[in-house]
Amino acid sequence: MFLILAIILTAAYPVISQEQFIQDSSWTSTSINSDSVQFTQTDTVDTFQIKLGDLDSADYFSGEISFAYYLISSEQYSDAQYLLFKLQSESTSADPNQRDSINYLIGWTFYFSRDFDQAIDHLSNVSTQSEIGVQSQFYKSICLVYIEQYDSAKIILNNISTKPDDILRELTVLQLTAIALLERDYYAYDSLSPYLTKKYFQFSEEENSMKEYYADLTNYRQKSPWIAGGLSALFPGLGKFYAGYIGLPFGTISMTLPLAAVAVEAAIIAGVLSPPFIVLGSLFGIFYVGNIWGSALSVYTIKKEIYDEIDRNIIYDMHIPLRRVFW
Amino acid sequence: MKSIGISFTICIFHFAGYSGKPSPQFQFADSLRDESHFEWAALEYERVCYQTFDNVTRTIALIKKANCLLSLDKPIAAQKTLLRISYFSLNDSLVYASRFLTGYASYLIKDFEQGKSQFFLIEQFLDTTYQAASAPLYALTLNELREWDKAKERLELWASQISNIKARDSLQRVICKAYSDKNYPKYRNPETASILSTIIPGSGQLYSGYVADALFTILMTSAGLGIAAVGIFVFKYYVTGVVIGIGIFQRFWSAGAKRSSYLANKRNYIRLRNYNSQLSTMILSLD
Repeated sequence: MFLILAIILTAAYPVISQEQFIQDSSWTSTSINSDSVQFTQTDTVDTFQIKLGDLDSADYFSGEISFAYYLISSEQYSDAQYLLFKLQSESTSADPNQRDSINYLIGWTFYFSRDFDQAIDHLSNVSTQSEIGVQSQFYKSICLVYIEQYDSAKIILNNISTKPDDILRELTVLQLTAIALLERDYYAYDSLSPYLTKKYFQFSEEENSMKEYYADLTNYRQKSPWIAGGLSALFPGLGKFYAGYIGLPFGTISMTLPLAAVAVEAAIIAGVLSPPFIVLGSLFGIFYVGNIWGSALSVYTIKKEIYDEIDRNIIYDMHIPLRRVFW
Repeated sequence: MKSIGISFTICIFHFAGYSGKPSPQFQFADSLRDESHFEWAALEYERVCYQTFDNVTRTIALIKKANCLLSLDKPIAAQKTLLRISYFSLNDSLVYASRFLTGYASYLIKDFEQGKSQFFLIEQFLDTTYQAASAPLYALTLNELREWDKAKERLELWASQISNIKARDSLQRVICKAYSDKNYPKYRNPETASILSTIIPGSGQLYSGYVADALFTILMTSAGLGIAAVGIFVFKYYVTGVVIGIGIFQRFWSAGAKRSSYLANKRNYIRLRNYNSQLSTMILSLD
């Protein structure tokens, strides 16, 4: 039926040139191999649809999934997503493993676009019993880590069935260890770290890094906000030096000291009850007190900056082993 | 945007008649493109790249994919696609088509250095016919890089290919008039502007052609010095006079030096745009 329709359409539509890039113009002085193949617009599209029906669907999906892998490996993520969504819409005739592969790859492209919610949605559609079930669970767990849903990530990792002395068992431990560090759950870290044997080259370096992060986190001693504030009270900017900032204190000094000098001069010349001193002294007082408060808070700010940096490195070291083991 | 439209017209003209190597591999993708399913067509051209071992077929597929991406208003992706072309074993016409389209996509995304290098390679390795054909877009690219003498030379080459002597002479006169030395926008050096403002506040802004800005800087720096003088000599508030007066002076003095550099760049940009838009109009009218 469709074939007959296609033939009728073929006859009805005007014939066009295959390589008709753009219309003729007097600018053209260089044309390239001007042979042309005659075919019709709708004929080709319809024929393609007919061919789709004739194709062995397993072969078709297998070929398309290979093509999607090629697109992803050559970092053409938007093309890959376009292809995969098209495949997903046609996937009723695909076998379950192929459907899983399509969902996995869609999730994977979203993961690399850092759209973690979408990635989780698609990775959740992959059956845990399929060939790629385990790797999709690992990617889903790291997506959950990125959106700071550590408990859900741990549940997924703990439910992955692995054999003893298997690389996946140790990879699971590595991921759980990293989550323990992200949660600052050092008790969990201590219980898991003995299982990091470093015998798998794919992530032995990351296992070492986890130890370093643990040391950095546990050895970090937060500075006292009281001391920082006290030092800034003694001399503006000193508290920020104590907290760990290098450049910031100079800005504080350049603002506060001239104001102090102006206030002192006003006190000497006009007296402490004079309007000039009240105005200038108040101005200095605001800056002085604000600087003490800022120095006390800077202790927490610098701690957060250091912890955030360590967290970024931990997540990166969770991601790299997944790439090495599964792709 | 106007210049993009202009060059798009040039590109359209340029690819007229391009017909590549006929291959049944392209039929499906071509039919999609012809029905304006550009995203799908781009994917199918990529599939041709994926399936073929023939560099010519691959190159044609990449060119066609880039055209689809340009139709989707994705010039960055188009340039990225075209930069994947390997020029090994391609004939001159295909090399030309690839380099021209890469130059065009680069022009659209304002990557003028990349565009220039593509046209330069056409100039160096392909014959005069190709050089002349790419000359208008090459000239537009060179204009953006302030290389007007070279742009003029390219357009003269293009005009020299016209067989009608009267028309050719007329075109060459138009080109010579547009690219006259005295029409070139005068360049204001941002560093000179900054140094001038450092020595005499406001002079860098004057050099860049912004009189009101210069007067404001002069006024504020003078006010700063005045406050210092009044504080010190009239009210005998030495520290207050220095801190407030010199503080105001220093702020406007240092900010003025930075601003004069910015203003020089702004003036250069405006002059460049005005001149180049005149040139673009002229180049388009050369048809």
